[in-house]
Amino acid sequence: MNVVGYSRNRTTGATSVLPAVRIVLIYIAMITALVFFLFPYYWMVSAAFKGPGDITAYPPVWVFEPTFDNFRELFQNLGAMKALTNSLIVVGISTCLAIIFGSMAAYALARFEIKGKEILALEILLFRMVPPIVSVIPLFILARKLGIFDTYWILIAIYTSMGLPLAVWVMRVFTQEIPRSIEEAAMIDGCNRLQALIRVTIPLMLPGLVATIVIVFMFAWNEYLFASLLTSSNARTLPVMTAVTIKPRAIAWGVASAAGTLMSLPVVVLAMLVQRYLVRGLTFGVIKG
Amino acid sequence: MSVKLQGLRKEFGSHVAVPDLNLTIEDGEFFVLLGPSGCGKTTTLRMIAGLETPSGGKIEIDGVDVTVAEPRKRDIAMVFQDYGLYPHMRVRDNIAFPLKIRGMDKAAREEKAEEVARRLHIEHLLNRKPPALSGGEKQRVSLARALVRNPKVFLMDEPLSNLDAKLRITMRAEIKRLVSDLKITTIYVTHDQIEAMAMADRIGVMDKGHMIQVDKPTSIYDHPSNIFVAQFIGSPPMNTYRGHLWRSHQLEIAPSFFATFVEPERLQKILHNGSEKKDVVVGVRPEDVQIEAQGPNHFAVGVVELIEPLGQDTYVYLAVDGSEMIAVTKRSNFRVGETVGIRISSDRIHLFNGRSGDAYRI
Repeated sequence: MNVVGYSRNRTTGATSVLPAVRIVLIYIAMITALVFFLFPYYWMVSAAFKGPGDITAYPPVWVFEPTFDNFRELFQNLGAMKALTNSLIVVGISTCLAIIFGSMAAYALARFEIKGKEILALEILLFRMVPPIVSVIPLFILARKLGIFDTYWILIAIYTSMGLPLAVWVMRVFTQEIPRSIEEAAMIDGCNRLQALIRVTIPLMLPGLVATIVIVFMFAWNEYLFASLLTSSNARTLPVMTAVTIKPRAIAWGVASAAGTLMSLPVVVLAMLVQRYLVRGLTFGVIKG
Repeated sequence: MSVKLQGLRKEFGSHVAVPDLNLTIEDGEFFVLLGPSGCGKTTTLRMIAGLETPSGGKIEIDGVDVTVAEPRKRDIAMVFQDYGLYPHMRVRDNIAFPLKIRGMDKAAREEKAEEVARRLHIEHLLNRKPPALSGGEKQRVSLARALVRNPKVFLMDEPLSNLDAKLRITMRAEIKRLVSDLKITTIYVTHDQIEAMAMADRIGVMDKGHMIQVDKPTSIYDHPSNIFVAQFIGSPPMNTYRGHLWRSHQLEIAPSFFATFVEPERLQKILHNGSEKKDVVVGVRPEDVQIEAQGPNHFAVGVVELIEPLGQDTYVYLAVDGSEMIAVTKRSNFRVGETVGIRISSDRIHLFNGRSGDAYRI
């Protein structure tokens, strides 16, 4: 069989597409997917650097003279610096808290014999099932009464309690993946429980931990409802600031794109820093030792 | 280093896994805890290891009370069924880990690790990581890690269960050789009675948390103390038949030929307290059932129902007097449907109390 692009296995007689053709096809598929996902992002980033004329031009302008006017508007008039700082502090702290306490709870739920363990775990999950809008008004009243309205504290508290169930449940699964016998072997080899945790369990939990951090971070980073209703000028976060650019009458495309680009940066940086672990963590079946 | 268990008890909530265990394992002995799933053998092993806290009783290792001591303080080593290797470390780091934790310096422990690896023929794997190893290789690494510290007691929890049949046999011999050379007290848990028979100096047969019989393998095989042990040890399992023994020394049983095979003196001893009748169970191991081509002087006969030729031995399933009997013979030319003569020597017949299951040692 001598059709171009095909080869025949002499032993089994199976026909297969030539490796070279296969690779080309794979690359085409990859590039298509990349373009599909990255193009909107590219569009937004390029729009952030375009003047009003270039943005709305049709046909679209590919080569243009970049301008920083949008970013200037963002930082000078819309208080982007403050919003960025607020977001980083609030989301950073709440993510840390959620991860630390969530992982500890997950370890306990995965390893120890606790009465009513399953009910406890479900209860933690139930927490997350309450639609946020239901609790906004009570939280508003609470925040006012406690005097923490428009401060870091109220958002940290809310984001931590939103991230905890996520952290607990995801880390619980990752911890269950690690066979008990590995920790027991460490304890017999000479570790006490803490040493076994540090030397054996945590290194194995790392991929899962990283995946969880990214998930929890992203959820809090993009959170709009609570942020918009429980903060004012002081503790405003990036999503709230960005929303200002989209008014009923007109959308400030350039500024909105700039805000979007700004908002996306920390997440992109985070993902790139941890991508090695991320891939491992998202393909669950790592532990086969 | 002897291990002594006194009144050992373990409860899981309302379920009593081990009610009251008393056992002494001698220094340098290879002791096998044998029993079906759920009999408490693994629970017992884990209590000795310190991975489970006993609900009552005492555990002594080398004379020291370790009942509530942490595992790391007991100077033991353990090989797990799933090997328990650290997947994120190389093989050499896995093996050296116990030494590292106890503060040995790098050069010394690297040397020791290599030495042990050589002994187990895994030097070529030292720089690999566990996920890249085969089952047999992982098993050896697990053994190496246990050996590297030269512990007082070696604990093994069904280490060969996850290996394929052929590998199991080679590893079994290797483990025995290794442990005997080093003369380490070893407690080995398994549900495989062939493994137990092959490896043990003594076997402790357990059922439902109780230690039923503790003895040398051949003694357990030849003189099982009750029906459970008799049927658990030996493959194929012992043929057993229920019957009644009357005051008149008549043995009412199917197959009826047993009445002729068993010596009357033994039946006499069973009825010593003059009871009307006693329930008895008669047992005979398949390898003690001799079958021959039917001849005129055979009063015990059976019809061949199924033949399993297994290479050297052949299992022959017979229909005898309405019951089934398995016989093991060397290669033969019997055919299904053929009637064969059966011969059983009286000293190979086991008698058990039908109610308690205990053996009559007569």
